[in-house]
Amino acid sequence: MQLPRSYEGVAVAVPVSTVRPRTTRRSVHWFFGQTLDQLIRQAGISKSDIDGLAVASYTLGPDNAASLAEYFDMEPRFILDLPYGGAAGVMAMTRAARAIQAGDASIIACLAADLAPSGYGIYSNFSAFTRDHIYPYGGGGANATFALITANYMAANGAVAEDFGRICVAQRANGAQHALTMFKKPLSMEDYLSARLIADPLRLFDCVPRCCAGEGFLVMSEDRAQSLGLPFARIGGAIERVNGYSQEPVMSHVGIAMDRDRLYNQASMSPQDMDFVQAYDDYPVIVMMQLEALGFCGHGEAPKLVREKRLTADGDLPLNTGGGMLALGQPGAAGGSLGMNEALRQLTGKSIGATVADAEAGVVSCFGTVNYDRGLCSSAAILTKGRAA
Amino acid sequence: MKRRPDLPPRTRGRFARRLTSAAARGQFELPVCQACGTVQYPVREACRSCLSDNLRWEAVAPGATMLSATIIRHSTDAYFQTLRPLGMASVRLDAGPVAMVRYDCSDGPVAPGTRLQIQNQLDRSGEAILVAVPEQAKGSSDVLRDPNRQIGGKTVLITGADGGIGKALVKALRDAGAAKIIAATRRPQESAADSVVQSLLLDVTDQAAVARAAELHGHEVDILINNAGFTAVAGLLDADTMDGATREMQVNYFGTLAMIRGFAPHFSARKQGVIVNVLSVLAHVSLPSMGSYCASKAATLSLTQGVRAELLPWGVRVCAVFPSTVDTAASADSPPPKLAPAQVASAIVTMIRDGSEESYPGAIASDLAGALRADAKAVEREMALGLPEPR
Repeated sequence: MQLPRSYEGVAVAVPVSTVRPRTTRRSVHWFFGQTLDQLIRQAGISKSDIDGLAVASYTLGPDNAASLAEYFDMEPRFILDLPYGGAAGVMAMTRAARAIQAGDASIIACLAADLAPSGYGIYSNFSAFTRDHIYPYGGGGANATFALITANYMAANGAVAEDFGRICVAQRANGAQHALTMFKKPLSMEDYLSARLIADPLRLFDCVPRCCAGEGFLVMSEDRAQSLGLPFARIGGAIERVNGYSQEPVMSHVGIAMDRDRLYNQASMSPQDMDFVQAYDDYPVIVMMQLEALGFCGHGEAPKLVREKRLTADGDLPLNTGGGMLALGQPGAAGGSLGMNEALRQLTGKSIGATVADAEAGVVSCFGTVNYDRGLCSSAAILTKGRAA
Repeated sequence: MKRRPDLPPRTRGRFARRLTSAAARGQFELPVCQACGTVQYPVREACRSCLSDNLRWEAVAPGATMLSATIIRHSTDAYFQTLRPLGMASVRLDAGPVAMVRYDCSDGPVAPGTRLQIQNQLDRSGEAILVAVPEQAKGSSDVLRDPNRQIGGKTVLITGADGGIGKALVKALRDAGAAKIIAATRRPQESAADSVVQSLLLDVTDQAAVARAAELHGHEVDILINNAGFTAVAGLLDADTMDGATREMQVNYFGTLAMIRGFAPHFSARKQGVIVNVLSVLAHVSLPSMGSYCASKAATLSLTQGVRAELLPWGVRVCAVFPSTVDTAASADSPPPKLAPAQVASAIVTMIRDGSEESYPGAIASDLAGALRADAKAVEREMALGLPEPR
């Protein structure tokens, strides 16, 4: 198997998150500014030390990474815009890591921020295919698209509502302990099952609450991280796949299922070595597909897996240990960085919620860019605890 | 044009909006790659398989198989929010691609594997929507729940109700369940007592009389059928005077315009209503032996397009029927074959019910419409040289 070059020598560090209001009168630039400010303060660097910017946002347009550089009076020599929503977190990290290895930049700030959409018609213009062939069919947004995917998965694999409920209940239990949670109160299975239908078979608590927030982290060389005295994580391996399994009539895999062996071989690890899984959780069915793609069970076997495993941070398969977007809300494209930041917090001893004991390695999986009837971008990375050489 | 929140979205890009032209004729067409045969959906301007840009919109097989179905119970759109719950499903078209469709969810989600028939229908904003109905369903179904498609219980006004097509229309609409039919005629009729049909003396060329009729009946009329017509049967140059041409314009064009100007404001105010203009396939091409008539119908076709555009944002539908020669007193001198008036009336009832905008009843009109779409100049020459074409 041809493996890509290793990510050795690269450090990922300083996970930061802003406040997460449901609505705001501020612009998205404010959230970017707060994110950048926290990164600089927590890293003990100055703004001019950052010479690379990777930016993900749905609401920043018509501005972009270059506009932000001017807005914040910065002069980066490497910029990157990633309009890939939930898939952007890992994609930003891997691209930044390669730029660090190549010497194109020395400290890259990976920033994601978004405002919660509001008002009628908010999803009418998400993409050309959505505008032309999805929105006129009922304006159901992502809920309707993932309802079709969920219904198909249930029919194919014998999943029942309780199986999805197990994921939601466990994540809300994790999230109840998180400093930034939108829900202090845990969710019971009864709450989950009795919630109203949004788009059959999806119920209210399958759908993530929206919020406004910024998320960020830094990518630099290990040497730099050590000289700054920053705890960091290493990248053991990383994969991504765009438009994977495109011939499936209804999506039943996330694309990285094609690339799993490459991920674990690059890291010289196996699923059993993972102390946690951070999986993009826009809908529980997508969490199940990621667990399958990442080798925690076979294809179509996730319903059985979630019945057998305890998914809380203290369980035998810690999943979305910060609560994921089900507990922390979905700040648009910044939702794609939640898993990255939670993994970095667990691996650098900086958890602000439930803690996975002695976490040495974990996997982060991202997913996003719903264009027609499925998400197009899927990415994953194994992160390991960084140690001074 | 700003969208009214009580109407469906009109969000499509220009290329995708081409779905509308087939829907207006009640047909299901998609772009087909002429190089490799791949059917494109979502529609694309380059072939998804071989990248050729040689795509042609063609009729495709209407069959499909249900893949997965949901019921939308919450929408971010004001219009859809009023129509909830809505059935949305993904289906595998027999033509190849996967398509999103609307379906009737009143009996719950349709099971995967169910065979379906796809109908390409216009919604209340004039946008094409793929609708899935049971494979064996006959005719069009009202999955889009458009009140403008109902005839049962409605009040219909028909002008020229004493002519051949007019009489057939009265019968067809009565059979379709219209609650009240106002049969407007220029000459007094011997009206038999009737619980449904009511006569109205009205000369559509008398603008004051038309305005009075609209004032009197505008509040109750749901469907206006502009059927009154006049034919001089003369060429543009071979007629001795311009009297015939003038009268054709007065009845066919100005009469129709006056009626619509009178009744449309009542329809707009109610955000509901259907206007049907009885045109002719000769609205598209001139037959020299009745050139002035063709010109009047061409003018009325243009009028139809204009008022349709003006009324679209108000939820008012404007449709047109394009028959070939119909067997009536007005066409006694025309050669056969001729359509039965009942065929035209039945086409109008179907058009109202299936939500399309154009109808070409009978083989002659539909063949001619196809030939015009393919090569209008060839048809013009054919008409100039006289039918039938020598082989």
